[in-house]
Amino acid sequence: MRATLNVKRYATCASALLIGVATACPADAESTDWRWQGEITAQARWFTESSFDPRQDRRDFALLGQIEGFRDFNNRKDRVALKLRGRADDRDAERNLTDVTELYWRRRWRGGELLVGVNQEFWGTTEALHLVDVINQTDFAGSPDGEDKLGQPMIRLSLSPEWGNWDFYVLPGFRERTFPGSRGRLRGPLPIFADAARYEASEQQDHIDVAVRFNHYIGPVEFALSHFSGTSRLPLFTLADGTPLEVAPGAIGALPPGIDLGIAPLYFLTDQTGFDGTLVSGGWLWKLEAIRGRDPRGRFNAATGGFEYTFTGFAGSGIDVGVIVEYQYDSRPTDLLITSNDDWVAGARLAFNDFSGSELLILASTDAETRAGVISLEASRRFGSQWKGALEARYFSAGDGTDALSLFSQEDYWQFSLTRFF
Amino acid sequence: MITLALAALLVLPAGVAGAADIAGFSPDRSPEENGRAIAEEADRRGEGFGDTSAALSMTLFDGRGNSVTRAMRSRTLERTDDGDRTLLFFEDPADVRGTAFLTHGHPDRDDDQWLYLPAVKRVKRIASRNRSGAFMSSEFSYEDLGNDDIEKYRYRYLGDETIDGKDAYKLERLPVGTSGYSRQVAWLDQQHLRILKIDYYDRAGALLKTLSAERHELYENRFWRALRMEMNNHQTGRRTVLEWADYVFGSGLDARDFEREALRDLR
Repeated sequence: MRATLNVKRYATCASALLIGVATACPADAESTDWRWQGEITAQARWFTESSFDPRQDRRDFALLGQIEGFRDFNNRKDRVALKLRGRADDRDAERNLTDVTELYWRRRWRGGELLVGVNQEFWGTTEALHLVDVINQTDFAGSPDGEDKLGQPMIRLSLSPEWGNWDFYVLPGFRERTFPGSRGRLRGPLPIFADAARYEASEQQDHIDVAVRFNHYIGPVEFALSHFSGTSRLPLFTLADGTPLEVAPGAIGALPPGIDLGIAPLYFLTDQTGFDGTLVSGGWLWKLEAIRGRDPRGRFNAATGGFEYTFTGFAGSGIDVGVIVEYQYDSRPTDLLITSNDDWVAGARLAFNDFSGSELLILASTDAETRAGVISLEASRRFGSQWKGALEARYFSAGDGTDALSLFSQEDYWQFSLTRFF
Repeated sequence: MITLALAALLVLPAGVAGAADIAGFSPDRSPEENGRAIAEEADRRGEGFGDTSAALSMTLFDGRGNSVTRAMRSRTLERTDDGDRTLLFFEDPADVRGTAFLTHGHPDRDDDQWLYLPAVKRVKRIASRNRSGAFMSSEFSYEDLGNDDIEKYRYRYLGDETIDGKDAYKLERLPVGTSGYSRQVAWLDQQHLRILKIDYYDRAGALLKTLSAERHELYENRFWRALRMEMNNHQTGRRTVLEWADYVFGSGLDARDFEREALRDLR
């Protein structure tokens, strides 16, 4: 279908040239029409244990939808793109979501590009933890692994001089992190009142953040330096009335599950400098991410690094097995969202190289001191060309009970999802 | 594109005669010298294409009668100061749409290769030792889709044979850098020095795969491109067929189209 269209366009172009008509002829005979795609996912979660809070349930069902489209014009120099995401949850209204993930116009020229609108950006290299990735807010209600992101309004200027690549960002319009509500999971014993969020910046969500990133690669070495100045995407927590919360997880756990008790995010102003790098050597990928920033408690440092080694065609099976080992350090005390202060992660990624594109990722993390940890499993495969099934499971272990991660110790879950593509 | 590993040898001007026109090719010289002379001449004839863009379909056959087809686009940028750059990205099926594969070829060292995974918006570097891994479950490895610069092999001319009625040079290629193969044997037709067939031998020396290149078309009056390539895996019985259409030469692609940053925009 598309091939036919392309042939026609190329033919039109050629004939225009033949008769000497100065028309705007697509130099690259690729589609310049709007192209749309969509998907709908049915998702069921089942929690293996009852929670602290009687308002919560052990099962949860959600419908997710996504539609995206784009159009290139002006010889692919210009693009406009749109991507909308939605989620409806049968128990927890806080998990409902309508998100403009992308809505932008982008112009490219030799040596650079300008993007104006809403977009997603990913920075970083490590598998389990994303420290330097600060442009987009996390859709925590969508998934606790931090991989789901919300669209961020931005003006992005990218320049590629002889050496390296620069991205300059102006980021107006702060997005609040999504959290499960009182009736929802996955959360600690105290509900999170996202609506009671407080801001350090007097402009609150209207504070304009800025960021810059430089990245380059020299043969086997890839590296990036970045800096962000503005409202932290990662909040601290206070009691919902604003009372500072001494982040001592034991104390949070001891509070009675009262109806009005809860915690609220505090979005503070920060300056954060980050480095991320990858070194390729033989079958090894060595990865490092490090940040230095500040929060209301002072300066902090955090780093994560490790390796990924892939056995291609493992034991003659045609299956690629990637072994992942990473260490995580953070000078901040642990809390709900910072649980990786002295942790080891080990896991494997299996690509079966079969027709259905079957994949499996298993990661286990554990705190070297408290022994609290998570085991996560993600598997997916295609059914035909229009369907995809996925399985996700997480098992939380409390260790000695002093780690913030132990707040999730009753939140073990299995999640099944089935996606239909359009 | 799969001109990829084959670009250098597939792209040749038309109407060039056989052995007599290959500089340095002579019965008096060693098989190594003659092999190198053939490769250099094929490489020389492929120069000057600038850039190309094409539609591409990839069909996987599992040997039990099942098949699945994927639609892609390929783009190639010729570089005179470095190896060529190639880009492949998927348009169908929906769950791999936007997946993109970028190669920065280098004449003097291993290629740099990246895979972009749209689901996580992440660019993943492919370790050079893993270049023998399957590209998107196909019988083509990342290495097969990489750059085929002349310095990537040591050559040996093994004699003349007839392939599909065409007189062909038989050429052994011994990989110099990181490779999943111990050696390759390639057949090039004597008239145009187009790749007709390549046997790939695994690290243990056993015959692993055979590539057949067919339906050669002439573009711009100078450049040959095979519009169909079939890779047969003798050890698993699986095969993959690549078919090109809508080749466009000189489409105005520039280096920025082949930067890592450009990967996030393809779909």
